[in-house]
Amino acid sequence: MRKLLRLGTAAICLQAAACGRPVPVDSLFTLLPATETNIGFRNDLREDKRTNGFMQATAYMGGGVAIGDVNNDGLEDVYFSSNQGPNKLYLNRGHLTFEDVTDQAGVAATGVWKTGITLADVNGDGRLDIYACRSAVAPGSNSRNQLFINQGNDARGIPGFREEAAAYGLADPAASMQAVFFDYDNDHDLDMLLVNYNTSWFSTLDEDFIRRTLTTPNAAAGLKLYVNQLDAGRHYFALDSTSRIRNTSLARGLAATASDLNLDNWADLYVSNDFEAPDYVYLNQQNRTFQDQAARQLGHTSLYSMGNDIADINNDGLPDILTLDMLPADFRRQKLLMGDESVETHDMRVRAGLNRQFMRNMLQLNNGDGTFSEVGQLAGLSNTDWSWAPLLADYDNDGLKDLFVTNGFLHDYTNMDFVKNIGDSIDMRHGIISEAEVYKMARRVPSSKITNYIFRNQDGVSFTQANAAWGITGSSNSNGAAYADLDNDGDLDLVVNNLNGPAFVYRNNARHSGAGAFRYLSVKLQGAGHNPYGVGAKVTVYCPGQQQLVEQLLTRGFQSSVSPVLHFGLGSASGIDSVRVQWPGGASQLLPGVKANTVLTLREATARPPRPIPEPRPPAFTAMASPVPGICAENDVNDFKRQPLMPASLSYSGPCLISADVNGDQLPDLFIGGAQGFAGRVLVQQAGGGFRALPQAALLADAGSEDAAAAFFDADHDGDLDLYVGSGGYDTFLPDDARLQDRLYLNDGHGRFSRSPAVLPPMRTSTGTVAVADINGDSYPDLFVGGRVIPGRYPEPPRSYVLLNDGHGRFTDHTAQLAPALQRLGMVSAAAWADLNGDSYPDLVTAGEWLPVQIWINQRGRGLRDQTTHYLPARHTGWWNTLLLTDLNHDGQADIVAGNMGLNTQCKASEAEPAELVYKDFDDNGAVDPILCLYNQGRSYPYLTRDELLDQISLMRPRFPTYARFASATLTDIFTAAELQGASRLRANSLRTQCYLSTPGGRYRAVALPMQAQFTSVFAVQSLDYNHDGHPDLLLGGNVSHHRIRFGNQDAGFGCLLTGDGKGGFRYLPQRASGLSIRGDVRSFALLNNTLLVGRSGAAVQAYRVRSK
Amino acid sequence: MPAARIGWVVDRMQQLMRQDITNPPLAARFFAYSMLAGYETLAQSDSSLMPLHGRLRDYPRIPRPAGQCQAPQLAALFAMLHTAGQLQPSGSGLAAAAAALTDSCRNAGIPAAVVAQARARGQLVATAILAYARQDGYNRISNYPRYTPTAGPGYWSPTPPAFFGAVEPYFNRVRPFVLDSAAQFRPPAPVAFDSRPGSGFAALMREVYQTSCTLTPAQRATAAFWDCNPFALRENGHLRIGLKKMSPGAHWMAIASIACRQRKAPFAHTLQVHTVLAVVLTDAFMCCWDEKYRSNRIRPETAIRRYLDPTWQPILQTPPFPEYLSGHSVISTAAAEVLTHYFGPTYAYTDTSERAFGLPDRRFSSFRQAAAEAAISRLYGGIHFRDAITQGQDQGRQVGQLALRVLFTPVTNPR
Repeated sequence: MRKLLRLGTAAICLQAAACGRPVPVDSLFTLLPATETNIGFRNDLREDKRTNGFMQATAYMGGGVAIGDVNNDGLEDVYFSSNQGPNKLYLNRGHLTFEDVTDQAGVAATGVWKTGITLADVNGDGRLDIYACRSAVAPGSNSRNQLFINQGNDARGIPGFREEAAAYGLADPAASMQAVFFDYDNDHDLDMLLVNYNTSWFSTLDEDFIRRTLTTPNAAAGLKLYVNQLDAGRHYFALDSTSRIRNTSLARGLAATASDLNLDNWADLYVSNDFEAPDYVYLNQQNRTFQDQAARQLGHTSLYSMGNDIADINNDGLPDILTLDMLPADFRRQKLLMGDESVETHDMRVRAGLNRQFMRNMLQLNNGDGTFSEVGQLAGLSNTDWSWAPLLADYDNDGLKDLFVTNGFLHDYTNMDFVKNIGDSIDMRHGIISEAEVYKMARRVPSSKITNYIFRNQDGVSFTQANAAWGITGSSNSNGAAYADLDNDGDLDLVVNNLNGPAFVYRNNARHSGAGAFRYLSVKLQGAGHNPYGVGAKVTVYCPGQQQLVEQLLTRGFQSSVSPVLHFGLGSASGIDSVRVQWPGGASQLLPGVKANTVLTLREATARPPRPIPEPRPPAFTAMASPVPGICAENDVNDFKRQPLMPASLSYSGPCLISADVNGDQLPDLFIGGAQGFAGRVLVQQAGGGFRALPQAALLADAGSEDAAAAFFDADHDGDLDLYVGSGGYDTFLPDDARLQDRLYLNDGHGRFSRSPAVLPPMRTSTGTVAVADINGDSYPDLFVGGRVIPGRYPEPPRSYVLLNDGHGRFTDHTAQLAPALQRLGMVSAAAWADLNGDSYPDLVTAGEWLPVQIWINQRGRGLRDQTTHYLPARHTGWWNTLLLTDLNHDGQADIVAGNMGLNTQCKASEAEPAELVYKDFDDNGAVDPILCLYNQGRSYPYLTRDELLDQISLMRPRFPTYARFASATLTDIFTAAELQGASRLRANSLRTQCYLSTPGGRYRAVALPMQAQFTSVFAVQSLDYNHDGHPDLLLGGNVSHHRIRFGNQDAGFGCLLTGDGKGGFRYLPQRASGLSIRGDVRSFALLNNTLLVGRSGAAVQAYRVRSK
Repeated sequence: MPAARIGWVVDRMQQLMRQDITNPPLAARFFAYSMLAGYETLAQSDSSLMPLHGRLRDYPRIPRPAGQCQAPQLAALFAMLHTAGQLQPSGSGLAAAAAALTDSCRNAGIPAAVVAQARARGQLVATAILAYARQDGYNRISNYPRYTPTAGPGYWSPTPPAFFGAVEPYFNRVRPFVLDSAAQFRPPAPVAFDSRPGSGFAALMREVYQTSCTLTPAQRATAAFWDCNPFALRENGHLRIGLKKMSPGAHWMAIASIACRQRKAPFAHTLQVHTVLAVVLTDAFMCCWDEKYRSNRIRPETAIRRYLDPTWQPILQTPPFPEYLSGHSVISTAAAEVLTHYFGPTYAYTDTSERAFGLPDRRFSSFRQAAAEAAISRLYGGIHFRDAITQGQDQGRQVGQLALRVLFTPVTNPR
């Protein structure tokens, strides 16, 4: 079993890819008409001057769906909530026909404004009860939640319910969105978390007010935890005020899910909050208290967090978190609906103590070590528009959980034209808007129904939208939803609550696809004590090469609860090896020999008592106190203030970190580059492994430059290592700034450096990279120096240089003679030398932003010629950050690893659909206007917003008086043919971090690295042999925390360790096994013996010890 | 041609400004060039209008076509519409105004050829004025680094609810009309920031706070009347509504129209009043904006919420730029100097221009009274400290008087 547990995602990918999939009968889902199902439910909204989105924040949030077998007849029943009308209970009468028994059952639930519903066996009698939330609509209105206790069936099998919220202590009057019943103290009864939404509005959320509001409790709006006090068989729920769950006025709670995120067998919580109100990761401290770990464990969260779900999507045994937000998938709606992005507002919120929040869906992959990697964009799940309910489940029974998303909003309030112009038509009497005026306005807000989304999980982390293929089409304003196998045929059907439309019942046809149909396993739980449905239990199904974890969490998605019968798709797996159940508190059971296509019942009574959780194997790396003192400080600049249309910031490229023995004591020493205003440092290694800074007056004198790249080599042929430092950066440098001059420091043999004047030609270029090699075979080291950018003139190509050494450490510019094409190659970020053709002359590999990885073959010292197309399979133009040349496949030939932007970004680029940058001074005002264009739904559009365009080019104002007109404009709609004449165009066709392996013929082939290599932008690559197997392994580091707000931070990388097989194949080692938990923006690695040093922008050098043999 | 047609053009321009949410300094600039085009067109046929070449900075010699203009007033109107049409973002919307003007001429029996000639002559002058406008440096602003709020406690930072970025931080780099430079009337530095009780700044803060706590209905009405915020945002959940008013400059252009109408001023005089006013407003904004982004002072809303009362809100929405000087104080005082020059110090009128925004008419005994009220309204509204108002008035007076000196030596009075 242990062996199975360790099989990672890679094995699963192969399996899923190999198995093929059955041809669907029609589509995976069929929408059933109400005439067949008898489910005639609609959540119809009657708007008036009080009931509309202007007056009531929750007006268009719709209702939920709760599914479970309320009469214990083996068929799943469906309960809907209606905001204003009666809630409805439909008994399942088999064959997907239902009977409305609301009145007989007594569960209509009176009053407005009804919201989330959940089924749970609150009193532990084996019958599902119903908890129905209400939100306040007006001061004094009855918003007490209702609890319908199941009294058992009558003769017709119809269950009767009695409303007993008050008796149970659960008639809470807060403005509730949903309740989550779960056992937080592992005492085998259900406790309850109540998620509330503050319906009053704050119009002045500045820094001080946020702080204050965040610490102001609010009984009507904050989160509330109720503990079930079972006394003499009577359940009474009491408010637990010592749980350390924050009850705050700044609460716009929309959903919560209780899952064991850290696998300690105690239920944790994820809470979604709308607007700037922060999301929470409450980790159960096992002592009836929780601790919010969101800021620590999540790099960022959704901003307008809607519904959420927690499930293991990559089958690694760890629950992952998905939250929904409201970023549209298409650029047109993005540009029409989005407000101005303001870095000031974002920073202000962070200063006030809120999490970093960005407007898009987030998929937080659980690394199992107290960190999560947010990969929603890489997964393809980040942009689904105004979304409410996410439901992660295996809809096609292939063994991987897919995603269903409900969508839609009755009125597009965020339509920018509407926002800017609707006020014009208001009749303001003495500056006060009447309710009637407001209602008149509300009705004029453009309404837009959107389709729901369904995504097929392809390999554990990549999803493809499958709406058309799976039959999820047609537009609606959908809110809550739930899944269950309504017809007991072995696949999950879907039920959706729609605003102003009939509810959707989708029949899943996965099991009707003939002989090839994938198999399944249904699991019913019988928990002990007063938790008969086993809420909180974790069931893992092991098949050959695959494990699947499903937690018994009833409340999922948005305002809804799903079936208590757990569902597993098995794909075409030959059989189930075993099934393990872990009950809350830790009792467990392992069942071998379970048959597929059956319903398995697991009983806690027969489980083994809890055993201590086994100690994990020691990781490959162990964090250690850094031997390097100090912080690699960064000067705080915002490049977008200077050139607002730059795709990415260029001022945070340091620190560079290089090592060599500078004082002749045989111990490697360090040079750490300094940002503008901070001097670079030379640190010499002490006997004990510590480092001591040697004072360097010469470096101090040049602190005004930014050290972007550096190299140790013997420039003047005196037997010691001299230091070349490339001055780079963007910052506030002028294009021809004297501080951009590169520098050569000569070593006195003892590690003291002095600047050697006039040995370099004038090079006022912001340097991106420096690479040393004897180009002309005279045995003296020469240089290639790549120019990164012209500060203030991005993306015009800066100068790059080939510098030849005269043997005395004097360098002259030979670029024009040796490689004229290199002079203005473009924005070069990385370069390296290696002999690629075996002629003993070093050849040059370059890469850069909007540049290909390029091979320059040395013409025996007489020139460098671009032979990229001969050596590489394609010209992969990317946003390359770094290059590593090293032999990975033991053939004696250098292989190439190139760090790129990665795939976890809003930017997509391929050969067919490249990212492009078109630039020119379009309005002839002296400023370069770079226009980033990206493909969206098959066409290329400028990515910038109307406001950004008008800010940059004021003459565009007359062309785009409205957002609507701009939203669908292509480049040629914005600029005339004459204006585009003379514009330059850069292209990128690949954003993947890439490995090129040498082949016997000398050419290279591209090999894909594991998907984890694409989680973030890669700036540092280190080769090493961490497991001492003689095969080179790779370590990738990166992240970017200074992107524009619309891109958000890239923070999903924590040091990606790839285990090499010696043939150029690599496998990702999960973070909990690698032991690496590197936060922040990694820019450099240095490996000294068994110590790994990590250079991070604006942070201390971090250190890890490599596990010894 | 009725003189009221000039006010009509101003009003059409204002409609577009409302649609485009044109910020106050930029609005003044649009008015200035459009009025200048009209003025210059008429001046070619009306020797009572002084030539501006040599009086306004870098003002070009405008080509004068041969022959007599048969309808110079009409040509002036076309020149204004054409200039505004090119300058304003939604300027194409003025085509309808030009068409309406043409129609009304036809209905009045003016021969089509006369109208066509007027239009052509107006456009010719407009083209020259537009070239002059293009050289004023405004379009170079996107070449400058975007504004970053100054770090530190006493400095401006974006204000709720929308936290808009700073408006026109480089307006002082635009070429002025009559000033030597935007810094010509640099005011004394504001009262130094000091949050400690008992400091001069604390006293300013307390004054705004206490005024707002004890605001009388009359003061509230004053604040509302002079709000002149081109775009206040109301937010409620995902719902955001932009509430728009005339900018301060547009308000004074409207007052000029009212005054001219009341006096039944002839066309040329009306045009001159509007032109001089627009030019002075633009320069006044430059002066004021120069200081705003020199001192970068904190707004009362930010300061009071931080140091006095975290729940306090001004009754007017704080506009998105630094506090010192008060723009309304500067430009209203400057405008009053201009209008007083033309109409005298005791010219009473009723300001009906805010009717469209649901505000009642307001009676004033003089322009200076109105300007003083506009200035103090910013204190009532909770968006300015006292020193920004009084120093602003001083600066406005200086700009207005300088402009009158530059433009009217020797004095011309077309009446």
